[in-house]
Amino acid sequence: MTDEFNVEGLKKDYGPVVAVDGVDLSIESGVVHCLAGPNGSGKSTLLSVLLGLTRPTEGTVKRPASDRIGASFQEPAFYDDLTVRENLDVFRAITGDPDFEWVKQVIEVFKLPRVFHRRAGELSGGYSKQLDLALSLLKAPDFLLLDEPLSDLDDITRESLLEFLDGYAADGNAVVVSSHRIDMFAPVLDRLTVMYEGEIIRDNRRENIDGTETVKRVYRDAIAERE
Amino acid sequence: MAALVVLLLVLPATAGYASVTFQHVIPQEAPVAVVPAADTTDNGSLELVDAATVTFAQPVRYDSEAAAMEALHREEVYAVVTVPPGVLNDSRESQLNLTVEGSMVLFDKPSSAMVGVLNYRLQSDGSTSISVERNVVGPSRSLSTYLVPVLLVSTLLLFAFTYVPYNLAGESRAIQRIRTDASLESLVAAKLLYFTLLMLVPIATFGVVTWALGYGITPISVGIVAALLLSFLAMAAVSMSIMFLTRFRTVGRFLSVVVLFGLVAFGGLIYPAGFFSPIRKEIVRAVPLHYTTIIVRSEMLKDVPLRLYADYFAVLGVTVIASLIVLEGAIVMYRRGD
Repeated sequence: MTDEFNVEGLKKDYGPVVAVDGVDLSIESGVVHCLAGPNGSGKSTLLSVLLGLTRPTEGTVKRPASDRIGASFQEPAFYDDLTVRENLDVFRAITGDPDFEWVKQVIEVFKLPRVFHRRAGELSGGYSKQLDLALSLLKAPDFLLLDEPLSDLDDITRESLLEFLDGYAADGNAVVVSSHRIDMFAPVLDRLTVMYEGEIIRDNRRENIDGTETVKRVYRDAIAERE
Repeated sequence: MAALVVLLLVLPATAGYASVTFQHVIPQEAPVAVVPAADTTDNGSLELVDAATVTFAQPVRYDSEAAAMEALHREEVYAVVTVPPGVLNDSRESQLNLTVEGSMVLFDKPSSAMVGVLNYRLQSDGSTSISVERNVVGPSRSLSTYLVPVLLVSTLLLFAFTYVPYNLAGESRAIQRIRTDASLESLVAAKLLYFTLLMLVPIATFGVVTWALGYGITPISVGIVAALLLSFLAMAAVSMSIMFLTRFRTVGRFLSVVVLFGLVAFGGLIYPAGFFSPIRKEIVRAVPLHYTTIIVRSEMLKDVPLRLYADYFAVLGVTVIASLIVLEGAIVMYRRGD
């Protein structure tokens, strides 16, 4: 056990399909770290391996000693048959009854009181994502791993989420997001890791990627080199 | 596709094959204890009775009447024929006793027929001085009361192999989050505990209904509850294992129904094991649910001490442990499949 995620020589294949190939990566606290890449580049698989949901074919994965790890998935993960409130109650109980004030704050950030009594399975795509994100934050995780967190969100919610994530990382937490829409994360990211066909082809810190246009250019150039 | 294969092929095949279970209305090879009434009963007399019995039953020798009666209560045999000394001696009047339990309703008519056949066979062997009398031990029950334990066990069986898989399938969408925030084992343990305790409701309901119907049976006892909950725990663990192994797909639910059919056909639920052919008898006795039914039937309908079934409880305990190990294996395989 360590204080951070660390993977070395990570490989994951599904039969003949290699999803992640020889990845070395560590996740740091206090930064918004974006795993970017086109569809099928291995971002989701990498997150899944980090979360311990997928077993790597090769390589080592060191997970932090802290069990305060939150995750949001490409497909929202909650109980369709329960209401939003019931889902929050169930996962609050599962995560060990977190601080009430914090939970209240999370619920407000994602505007969930408006849909408290609706069945989760009947929510729109946007609210489904918002509920999933809220559930990932219930235990105020030290490590927050989000897979395509901005998909289905409207512009206002997207902006408030980005602002929230920026502040959350500034409080010393690790925020890892996977996305193929790099332009949206550009204003808040501290680290950009570009993946392509399962490999890491760029890993830049904030000092090298300041400004949205720079981020977009770094990403575009990295992909163009491989295509 | 797999679900359709199970629904259109496996399920009908199982249901069709299950029909072979019900071969006879009157049992032809039911085990019957042949026991000497006294130390002076000679082997020749016992062999004569064996020979007379074998035409309609499977004679099993016991050394003492007490052991034979215990076997009767445990449903290892369905009648006890007590052979007095000197059956071969034509000059003496001999009376054989054929003892059956009043609670074994399905064996009531067959045992009466057996007495007639036994009388005919023994007398046709030239032993005109031999007569056979039928005795009934324990309270005589009606078919309705006989069915109460059968239906109670069936209710739990149905719940374990239909609702439990359905409920677990409902977790499939939330499973990734549960795996992140807790463990699959803790989820499964919580569900097993919850469902097992929930089974107290149908058990109590059966108790209330049978009491209201004035059946005069023992609707609830420690033995009944323990046997039913242990069995349910094992069955629920098996159905959950199926769901994990099929990764919560619809085919898992259909496979659970196939297992349900299999247990109804081969678990000795309705007809006791002794009603079947020798091979099928062994199959029924290999199914732990068979012992649950015997314990529940005995506790409800008979007046015998629970200690008689200590080894049956041990079978159920071992089954629970084995099914939980299988479940853990299924969870491990589920995780490896990601």
